[in-house]
Formats: sequence, structure tokens, C-alpha cells
Amino acid sequence: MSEATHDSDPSELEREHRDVLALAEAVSRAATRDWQDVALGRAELDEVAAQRAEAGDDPEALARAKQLFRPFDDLEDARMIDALLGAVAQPTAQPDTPADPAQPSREHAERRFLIAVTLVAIAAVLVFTLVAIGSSLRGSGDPLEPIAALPSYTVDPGEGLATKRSTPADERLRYTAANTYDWIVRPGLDVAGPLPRVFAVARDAASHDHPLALRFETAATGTMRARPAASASSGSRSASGPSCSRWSAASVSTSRSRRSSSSSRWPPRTDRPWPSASGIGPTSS
Amino acid sequence: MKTLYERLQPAIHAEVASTLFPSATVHQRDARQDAIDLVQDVFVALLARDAAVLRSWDPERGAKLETFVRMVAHRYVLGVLRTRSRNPYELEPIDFEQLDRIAASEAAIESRVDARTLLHQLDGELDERGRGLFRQLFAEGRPTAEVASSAGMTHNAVYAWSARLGRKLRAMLDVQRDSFQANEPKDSRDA
Repeated sequence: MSEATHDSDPSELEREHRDVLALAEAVSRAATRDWQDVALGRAELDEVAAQRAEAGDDPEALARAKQLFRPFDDLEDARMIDALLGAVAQPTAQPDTPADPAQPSREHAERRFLIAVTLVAIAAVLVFTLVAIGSSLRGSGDPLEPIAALPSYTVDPGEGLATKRSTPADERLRYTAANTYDWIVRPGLDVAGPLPRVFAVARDAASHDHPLALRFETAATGTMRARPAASASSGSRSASGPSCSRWSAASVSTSRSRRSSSSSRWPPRTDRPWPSASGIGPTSS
Repeated sequence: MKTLYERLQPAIHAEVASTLFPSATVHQRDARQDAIDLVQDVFVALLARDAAVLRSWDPERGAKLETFVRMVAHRYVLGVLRTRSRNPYELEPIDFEQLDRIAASEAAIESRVDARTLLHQLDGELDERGRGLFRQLFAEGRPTAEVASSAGMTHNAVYAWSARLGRKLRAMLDVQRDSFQANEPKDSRDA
């Protein structure tokens, strides 16, 4: 079709244009109706994927659709609700809409006060740095792996995070007393071979470092889930951190090792993103 | 929050994923992460400022709440794809008239319509310029003035092109419907 001048009433042309826009949007949406039914919980992912494969869809597009439309799992739902509660409770976090300091609403002020009290009293603040150590553990018998062989890793703060998900510029993770850390350490690429070991250190207000006892579950893709070691996973807040009111600047270090036989596999329940890899990634220490 | 989330999340997710799908296929990004981020953004957009956007939905207008939030999601994702900037607090105003049009169009497209084939056929009908116009106007949701300017066309010329496209699209839909009718058993048609 080629364009041509038109003598119709401009308002009539615009109305028709808007009708066509609506029709095109509806048709475009209908083109993925089967996949949307997966997200809507009306159809099974595998069944639709099999149908589309049979229909001759491109394998890459098929894989992408499975990623996109797969329903949220329980963990993703829980994190989203947690993040939304945080976002709703923190109106000052709205970008480009600074609150008018001259006329703060009472409700907002009260919310901020509560958040501040929560954070000062019981927050655990962590700053993560992934440190790739380019050597294998002594005595492990594993071959040395060059540092370049480690993909970049991101740390997903996981559920239990008390605040809205981090902005790209904010690497701090804040926890309340009710939280315990549950991190997902995810490689930028699937790691099929040797997996790094991960060590974490928390730093208290007096700059004393405290090793964190971690336990891991490892997915087939190399993604690791790190939680407090079993002996420290219950009880008070100090179970998930050092026994001090505030701690920060933990580092998460990775070093090469074979996949540990003691690592249990877990289904990769989420691809929850860490909003920014800023400051996180393999660096020399 | 949980109740609201459980009601709206599937619709928002379906819309975000559907809107992202073409560009995700092209750009090979980690689409899952993008989708989750955008679903969250849409919720924030709906709930920001004491849920001003969500409360602007008027059931009396006819569109279901899910249709409304899907339109919000669609507009937001298109905006992010256009600008590469995410800011759920700066949502474009909701065009309720257009929402009604979309709801009516969706209702008119029966489940048996093969929209994939239809879009494929339509693509075959368009020349390179037409594909560019289609992509900008319909896939990317760019304003008509912007599309007209970039294509070196007048507003009215874009409208005229759009009108012809609409006629073509409707004709293709009719052909599919006729085909369905022709293939239906006579008994079911009589019934």
C-alpha cells in the first residue's frame, strides 16, 4: 500500500485511525493468545510450547516465549508483593517526584518515621562485592582456573528484604528483625562445569569482620541459593548476621572449586533480577 | 495487597509478556528479568499516589478492570521500549475512549481467528515503507505526529494509509470468518 492524499473530514480520518489502532492492538494481542493463557493460568506451559513447536515456531522464539509467559512461582509472587509493599510505603522513593519539603503530608511523615525507626533499630545493611579469586582451593585437587573463566555473578537479595528493591545506584540491602537473608548468586552465563565456592563476610559498625555461615543449594545452571547455615538459621536476628545491632559491607567472594558433592540441587525457582550489577562482579581482591 | 495482586498479576504479566515478546525475540535480552521488572513497574504505576491510576478505572464505562490494567501495562511497556527509560511514576494519561475501542475490537475478534496468520498475511501485503509505518504506529505505539514527521508525510496522509490498512485488516478477518463458516458442519450452522 502506498500513501495518498485524502479528502475526508480530518476528524473523521482521526477517528478511523484510532479505530484501526485499536483493531491492530487487538489483533496483535490475539496473536499470542495461547501464550497469554499460560500467564493467565488457563493453559499449561508445556502443552502450549509443544503446540507451537509443532506449528513450526522458531526454537529461539519458543524459548523466549517460555521465559516470558511462564507463570510466576510462589517465590516470585512473594518477592513482588514484598517489593510493592515497600514501594507503596515509601512514596519519597518516587523518582522525579520529590516531595515538597515545605508541606509534607502527615501520613507520609509518619510512614517515614516508622521506616526510619525500623531501619535504625534493626536493619541489617549489606554491601556486596563479588570477588572472584582466580585460584582453586588448596588441596581440592581441582585444576587451576583462570579468573577470566569465571562469568560475572550477580547477587539477588531474595525474599525478606525489607525495603523496595534496590535502585541501580543503591547496593545496600536492608533487613528487619523478621528477615533472614536468602540470596541467589547467579552467574551471567550458565555454568556447567566447576562452580565457585562462595564466602561472605559481614562488617559491623566498628569495622570488625564476621564470617557468615552459609549453606548452599545449587541449580543445574550454576545459580546458587545462599542461606544461613542450618545451625544459625533459626532464632534471633543474630542468626543471620553478627551479634550486633547493625552490620554492613559484607563481601561475597567466589573461588573455583568443583561442584561440591554436599551441595544439594534446587529447582531454579526464580530469575528474579538484581536491578543493577553495579559494583557486583568478578574483581580482583 | 495480596488479594489485589493475585487478581491483577496474571493479566499484567500476560500483557507485559505479550508486548515485550517481539522486541525480546529481536534483542535476545533476558526477557524473564525484563518482564518481572516491568510487571512490578506497572503495579507501582497503578498504586502510586494513593492508587490514583487504579482508582481512575470506572466500571460504569464497561471495560473490565483486567482490560483496564492491561491497557496501562501495554502503554507503559511500549513507553519503556521507546525511551529505554523506566519510570512508573510518569505514566501517560489514560485514554479511556481508546480503551473502549480496544475492548470492543478484542470482543469482536473471536477465539477461532488465527491472528498470527492474519498478521503474517498483512505483512506480506505491505511494502517496506508500510512495514515501517506499521511497526512505528502499531507495534511501538508512537504518536502519529512523530511517525508522520519521521516518514516525511502529512498527518492526513498517515491517517489515510491507516484507514486503508484498517480496511485490509477487516477484509482479511472477514475472509477467515467466511472460511470458518464454510468449514463448519451444516448442522451446526443450522443450529
